[in-house]
Amino acid sequence: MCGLCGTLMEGPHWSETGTDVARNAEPASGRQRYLERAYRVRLINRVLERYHCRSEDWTGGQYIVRSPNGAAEVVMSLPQLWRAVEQVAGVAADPLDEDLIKRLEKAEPVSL
Amino acid sequence: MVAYSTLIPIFVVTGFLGSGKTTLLNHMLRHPSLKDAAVLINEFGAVGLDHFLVKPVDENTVLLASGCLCCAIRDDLKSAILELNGKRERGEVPRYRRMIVETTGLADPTPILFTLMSDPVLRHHYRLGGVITTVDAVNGMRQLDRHVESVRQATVADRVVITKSDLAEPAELARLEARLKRINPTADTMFGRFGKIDVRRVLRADVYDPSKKVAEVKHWLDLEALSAHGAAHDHDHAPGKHAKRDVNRHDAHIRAHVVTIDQPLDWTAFGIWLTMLLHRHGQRVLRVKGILNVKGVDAPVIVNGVQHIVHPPIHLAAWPEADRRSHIVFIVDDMDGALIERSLAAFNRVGAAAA
Repeated sequence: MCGLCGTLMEGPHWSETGTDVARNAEPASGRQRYLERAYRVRLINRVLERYHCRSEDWTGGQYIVRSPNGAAEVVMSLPQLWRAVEQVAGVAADPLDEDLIKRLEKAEPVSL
Repeated sequence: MVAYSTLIPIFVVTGFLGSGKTTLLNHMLRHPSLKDAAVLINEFGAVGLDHFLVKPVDENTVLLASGCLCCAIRDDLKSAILELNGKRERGEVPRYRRMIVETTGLADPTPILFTLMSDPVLRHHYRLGGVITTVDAVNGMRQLDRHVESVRQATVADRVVITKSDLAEPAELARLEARLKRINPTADTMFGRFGKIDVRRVLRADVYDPSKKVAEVKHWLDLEALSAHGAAHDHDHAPGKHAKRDVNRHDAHIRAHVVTIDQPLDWTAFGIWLTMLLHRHGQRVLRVKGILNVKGVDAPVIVNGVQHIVHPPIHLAAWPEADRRSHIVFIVDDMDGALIERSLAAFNRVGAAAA
């Protein structure tokens, strides 16, 4: 997946497929997938506080990104999510932004 | 599901015009381990290829609407591979087990890599094995000065082959080697003499081949060698030795940074962070290669990316060294390595409570 173009591709994004592509592991159970996804959304939201936005899980396979003024976008994967954040919030979503880093350095860790 | 290691590896051979790509290919194809390789070439050069499966490809690049150059789809390449794949399946050509794609000399190879790694159909049958870049010992310096494509070809390489090294003065050769190692210290730089190279060493570039990946990862993360080639290990705030740079060069601001994270990484936080980094800075993050200590995972995890494109992660059977910390080499164009490390540590910290 291209983070800039958001080109759609078959199958889940690398960030959601576990840590070993070579392993023919049993797929995660529905409950496990739900918990992992809920955790990911909580972590994303800790980052999105910087932009006054929120994300939600949508049908277990997509995310909704919402801005405080009601703008919303449905996206398939994390690279698309960052594009959507920039569109609805009108700011650059930059992990090297000093203010974001300082916030995360002080933030409460997110529990699973 | 098809096991990733059984997919047909594709090696991409790139290099500037006249840098000896075809000579290198001719030599490689005589090696027994490549007797069952199919070859796709972009142009018939002055040197003919004597091989059973050689197919030319017309250049036809489709730029996506966003204008992101590294993510252009090479429709021609996709069609050529799928056509060959169909013939293979129908028994019209031998069942080749590897593929080599030769790019044109003027090409930025990233669209080729993007096509190979992102097309859903290709990904079902093939995987990227490695990128081999040829650089002419005599003209390489000038080409790096004048052509940004030449620098791009060096940054994406897993193997850099300095060709015609028998024709260059030793001092000239040493300067070129030092420059190439500064641009891309994670690549194994080797010499071709009289059109000959160590083919086995070239083919070790395949980090997804279970028999080769440990040695390859060891090479990526040889921290001592990285530092000697000018990479900054920002973790210790001890900058490496830097050569004086001419700011007018295309590679003047390209630099490798070794990011080290002491705490085990939260995989979810890492995915959020890397996708966000590549979203915003992908055009300046030329390579990412790393070994990660991931919380809850016994084996080391390998990450490998080129600009916006990330290979699927893979496990190593064992840690190559006693050091169990996560080390990631970023080859970046004018970015602050210490800030990258601080940002990753901050994201990881927020996920630190997870089991």
